[in-house]
This record gives sequence, structure tokens and C-alpha cells, in this order.
Amino acid sequence: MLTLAALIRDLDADRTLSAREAALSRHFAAMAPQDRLRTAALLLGRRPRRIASAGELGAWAAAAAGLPDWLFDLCRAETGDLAEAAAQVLPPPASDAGPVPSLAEVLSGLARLSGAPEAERHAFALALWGRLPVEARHTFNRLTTGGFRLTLPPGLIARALARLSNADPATLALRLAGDWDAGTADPASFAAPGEEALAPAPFPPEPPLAVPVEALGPATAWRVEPADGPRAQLVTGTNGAALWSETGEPLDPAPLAALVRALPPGSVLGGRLAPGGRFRPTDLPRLAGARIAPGDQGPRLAALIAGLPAGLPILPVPVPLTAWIDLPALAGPGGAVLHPVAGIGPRHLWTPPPRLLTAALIYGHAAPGTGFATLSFGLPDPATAEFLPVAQIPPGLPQAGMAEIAAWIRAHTVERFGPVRLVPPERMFELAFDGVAPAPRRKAGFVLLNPRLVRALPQAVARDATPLAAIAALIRREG
Amino acid sequence: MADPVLTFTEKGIFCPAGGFYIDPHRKVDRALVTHGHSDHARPGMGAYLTTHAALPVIRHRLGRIAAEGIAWGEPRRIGGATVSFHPAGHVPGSAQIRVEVAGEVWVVSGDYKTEDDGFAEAFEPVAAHGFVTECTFGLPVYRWQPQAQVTGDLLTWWQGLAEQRRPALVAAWSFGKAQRLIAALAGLAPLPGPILTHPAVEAVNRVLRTQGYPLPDTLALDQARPEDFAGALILHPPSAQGGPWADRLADAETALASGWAAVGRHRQGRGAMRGFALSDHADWPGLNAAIRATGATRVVTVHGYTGVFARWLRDQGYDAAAGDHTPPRDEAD
Repeated sequence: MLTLAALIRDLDADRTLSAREAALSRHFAAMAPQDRLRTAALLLGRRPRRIASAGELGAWAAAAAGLPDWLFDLCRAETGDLAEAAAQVLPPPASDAGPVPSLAEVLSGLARLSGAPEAERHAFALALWGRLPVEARHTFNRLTTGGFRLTLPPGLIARALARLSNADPATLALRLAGDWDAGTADPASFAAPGEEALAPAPFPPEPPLAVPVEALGPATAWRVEPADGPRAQLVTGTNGAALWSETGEPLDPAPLAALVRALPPGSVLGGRLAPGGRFRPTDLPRLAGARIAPGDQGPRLAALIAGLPAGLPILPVPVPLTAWIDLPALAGPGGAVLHPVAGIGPRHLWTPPPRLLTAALIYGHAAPGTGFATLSFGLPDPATAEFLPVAQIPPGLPQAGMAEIAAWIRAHTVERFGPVRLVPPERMFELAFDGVAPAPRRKAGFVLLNPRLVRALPQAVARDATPLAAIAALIRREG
Repeated sequence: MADPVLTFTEKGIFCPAGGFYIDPHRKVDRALVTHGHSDHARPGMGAYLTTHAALPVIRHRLGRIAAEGIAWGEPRRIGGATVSFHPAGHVPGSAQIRVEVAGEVWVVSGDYKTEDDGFAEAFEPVAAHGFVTECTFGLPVYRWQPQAQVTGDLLTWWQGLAEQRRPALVAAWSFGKAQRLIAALAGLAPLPGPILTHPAVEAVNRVLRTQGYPLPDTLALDQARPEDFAGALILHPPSAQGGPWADRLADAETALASGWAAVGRHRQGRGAMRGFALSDHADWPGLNAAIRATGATRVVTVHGYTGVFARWLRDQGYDAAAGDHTPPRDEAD
């Protein structure tokens, strides 16, 4: 339990993928192989059933600490977390408390006591509280109440596990994502090589373009791929297939089953998961077990696709460009990837210049700490003059500016809905966004894509706001 | 009926018999000051009385003031009151102030902690009829681990970063916490790298070194060379904004050394990646033990969870009330 608690502390401290992978690997190294799998299962969301309701855990902790209910309730409010409050109000374990419980002991106890009478569950919690240091007690409390919610993707866990052995991370990731039981899984066979590796190939980089497109020379030297979904690689084997995200996470290949059947085993098809469950191939790093050089992939891919049966869920490969002016029309919501026609050389991600609008601040969403985690902005509906929300975004203003806005929100709150404060539409801001998408369930009828706060407009007033209809018109114009 | 020994006014805690205030928050003629933190030692008083040990930092912070030092435990007659100063264990020189009027004894705790940190003069319980206690951390969720454990955890974290040649950036109050940490870490030598200090911390270090407090040499951030940053522990006040050295800290991990770090949402709200719950205030068991040790039956709570803590004390049989007109709790710790 101590290692699991320390791992969770480190996973919370730095949430970047690389730091989390390093933390996982470091703490896995300190665990017995079976505990690595138990921990992996917890982090994949395979949690034990809870053995205590929030009410029970609070009552047990208050009684054990000798606190009246009103005082424990204040502790719970102070931490905002029952599991944390219950862990911290108790004295540390006595020096003769006995060994700190292992993860296996905790998990088997939780499994055994699910549905048991309260007296047994209560006795178990008390016994373990008496042997667990505060940090581990917090983790234990989360497990007992079903409040353990941290999940990590299988690819990340697999890479960390693979650092400790010579196992193939792709094979491990697919096993982790599959059907298994932490109680019975065998660590050795888990790490053993598979019959065939369904590992992805490196994804060719697509860095954002830092210069105007005209600097890339004639448009005819480029092909355009709309950036309208996440990148992925489809890997086929003799007994199955894998679909990988760009971050090395296994995705479900079932929607592409017809395509899998049509491809020769031992192939890696790179591309993009476009809307509608379709796949747009762009790369063919491997075909029928043979590696294909980057310069050859274009023609080989074209030939492969030409030979595929009709009706597969695939979209055409990137189309050649004739003039730069056509680029915006060919781009997707995330912009467009420019591929060199020759097939060799760097690619570039082109994003359309941001669009700007003037909106009023309408809601502040209070954060547990002090300020506001996000702000909502609205545009006026001409029919009712009401400001309808179009974007909810983190403040992102310099510290001083945000402090002033936070104070203004507090002073001008019209109504409160829990942590949300409604303010009159008097403070105007310039927002940038990349596009709009229809959203029939929103009052405004659309959502802004990638909205961000550009600056406050202290001189502007409500009637300077961009009309709602002007943004809605973008949808009609751009389809 | 005689005046109470102490009254709680808008200007601060007042002793009618002696005509003085303790840690006043408005300008008064005569101030008895427990320690040099800015919510206790404020500018503009006609005259200051504080311990010899606290005086240099107060002078450093308040400039030219009419101030007198007094020895630990030395009785001083002021009007109809007799006062003396006793160690509070909060920061170097910090005192509890004992006030006796016509045989009735009250003690004003100032800020205090009950664990001996090995640097500040250790807390000494003082017998009293009435006790005015701070309660910055007057909730049962605040329970500190022993200092050796917290500083050991901090050292382990620092070693991990130093191996990666990354700086460890620790937010710690510039008077008290920073020096306590430096002294405690020095006792754990060999250390994985140099300790660099924000200029505000280094200025206090110089004052305390001159007084004879055992502080090892530290290097001010503005004097450090670029290569000093890799693997260094950097102490800065929580409120410090970036300086010319900010770009050397891009790959630093950040931590908060404070009692507030005991609660996850306070740590996150202060923007730190890590928390080390090292406080210069008493925790919940410490507050309760300190009150018991005075033998007092009457308790007034100030600074912090005053209403909550007073209610708890009444449940325990004390004649307890929250002191009126106390300023907001010390967010500094």
C-alpha cells in the first residue's frame, strides 16, 4: 500500500505523460511482479467494489477520532474530500501497530467484505487504519468508498512495465487492454513475447507550420490531408489486428474490421480516423511483413488501395493542391496536413488563422482554491437580447488581470448556481477560435472550436458584442 | 467589578491596567510585539517592546522605530500590569506574552508551535488563568508529522531531482520557515546540491546569522551562476514572482513547505506540484496540548478557525470564546 500511495502522489505531482511513465516505472520497480499487475488493474479502472458508503466511512472515522459530527463535517468541508478527511483526523499508527498492510491484503479484504454486515466492514477499516500511515490511509479510504478514480491509458502503463523487462510494450498494451484478472494473471506470461507483435511504426512528425504557406514554394508540390480526426495506425496480423493512437494507446479496431480483412497480414497502415468511422490512409510503413521506405509509400499505398474491394470505410488519400488559395476549403476543423508530393521530406500542419469575436463574460466557474477555473462567454441573441453561452475557457490572462476580474465577478454576482456565478454582460473580451460546429443541444446552436481568450476590451460595451447570427452564418457558409 | 486583564478591541488586544496593546493592527502608542511577521509587527507604533532575539528582524523590516528589547522571562512592570516574554517556538525570537494584573495571569500565545524545531527557541508552557491562543490550524485534519520525517521526505525528493540535474523550487516563508529548513537540511548533510535563496530570504538569513543563529552559508539567487541551478534547492517566498533567474527554473519541480500542504486542495490552490506539511504553527493535537499545559480555564481564540475551535473547547469544558476584531488568519504559514 505504501508504494501505491507514493505512486499516486507522484502521478498527481506532474501529469505530463513522460513524468507519469517515469513515476510508474520507478514505483513498479519497487513492487513484486504480482503487485505491478494489481496496480495496473486499479489504474486501468478495474477497481474493487466499495465496502463503505460515504456516510459509513465518515461515521467510522469521526467515532475513531473522538470527534463530534459537526466537527468532522467541517473537516470534510476543509479538505473537500471525505477520504482525505477520514485519513487525516486519526492519529498515526502506533509503533507496535504491526506491519503496514500489503496491497494484496487490502484488495483481498475488500473483495471478501463486499456485501458483508456493517460490523465486519467497520472492523476491517479500523484495523487497517491502525496500521496505515496517513498517505496510504487516504488511498485505502478511496478504495473502500469507490472514490479511487485515477485512471491511466494501457499504452502508458505498458511502456512503464516494459522498461523493467524486455517485453514488447505493444504486446503488453494489448494484453492490458484486453480481458484479464489481476488476481489470477501470471506476471511471467504477461510479459512473455506474443505469437506476433502488432506494434505500431513511428508516426511521421507533423509539426505546425511556423511560416506562411507561400514560403513552402509552389502549391503543386504539396498534397493536402484535412486534419479532421486523430491520427492512428492499423496493424494487421494473422490472428487479429490492432489500432494504435499517436500516443501509443490501443484503440478498438472493430469498426475497421472489413478493412482489416482486406489487408494482407503483417501490414501497418497509417492515417487518420475521420468522422463517420472512416479511415483516411496516408502511410504504408509495412506491407505483408516487408518494410516500405518513405519515398515508396505513396505509390505502394495508391496501388494497395486501388486493389481493395469497394465499399470499405476508407477515404481517398491526400489530394494534390493546385493553388494555395484552395487550402482553407480543403482543411478540416484542425487545419490541414501538407504532404510533399514526392513523398520524401517533412510534412507541415497548417492551421487556419484564428477568427476573432467580441463576447461578454457571463459566468465564472469557481475553483476549489481561490480564483475561477473557467469563464463562460456569451453572444447576444437578437430575439431576446439574452447572452447565450458560446465558450467556456480557462482565464489565461496575466495574474494581475485575472485577480481584478475575479474580484469583479464576486462583486457583481447576480445569481449563484453552486460554484457558478452569473454576472451581467458588462465585461467584454476578445476571443479567438478556429471554427464552429453545429450543436443543436446548445442554446446558441453551435460550439466554437478551440476557443481562447485573447484580451480584455475595457472600452467595449454589450452592444459591441459580435452578433450570434454572424457566427452561426459561418456554419452555413462552411458546411 | 474590575476591568478584565485583556480586552479585544478594533486596534488589537489591549491591557487596560498597563495601557498597552499586544500585536496591535492599528497605530497605538505602546505595542508589545510577539514576533516579526508582518501581521504581528506592524509599522507606526509609538513604542515597541519585544524580545532581544526578535528585535533585529523587526528593525530590519520596520526600519527606524522606537523599540526596546527584553530578556526571556524578565518581569517588567507597565502601569498596573507585570509582563514577561516566553518562547513560543514559532520563529527565532518569537514569544508568548504573560500579563499579570492583581494576581490574575493571562498569556497571549502569539503564533506558536509545540514541536522543538531545533532552530527557534523551543515552546515553553506558561501557567495561566486565561490563555489567548492562535488557531491558524484549529481543525482536526491538521496533524503534523515529526520534522525529521518531513525534512527527510523533502531531501529524498530533492535527491531525485538532483540526479536529473533539475532544480527543486520550494515556496517557504522568508522569515522562519526558510531558515528552519536550511538548518534542518544542514543536519542531514551531505546534501545533493547547493541551497539557493531568494534575496528576501537571504536578507533575513544575514540578520539571523549576525545574531548568532546557526545558519550555514547559502547563496542568493541573484549571485548564483547558471551552473549553480542544476540540482539546487531554491527557497523563495510564496508570493515571489519571477526574477531574472526565472528562465533557469523552467524544468524545476515546485513544492510548498507549509501546514497548508497537509490538505490537497490548498496545495493545488497554491500551484505547487508537491507539498511538505511543515508548519511553524501548532497542529490540532499541539493546540489542545498547549492549552492543557497552561492549566487555564478560560481561553480566547484568535487568528484562524476561531469560532470552530472555541466551540470545540467549550465542548471540552473550557470557558472559551472567539476573540473579536482579530484580523484574518495568517495565510503566510
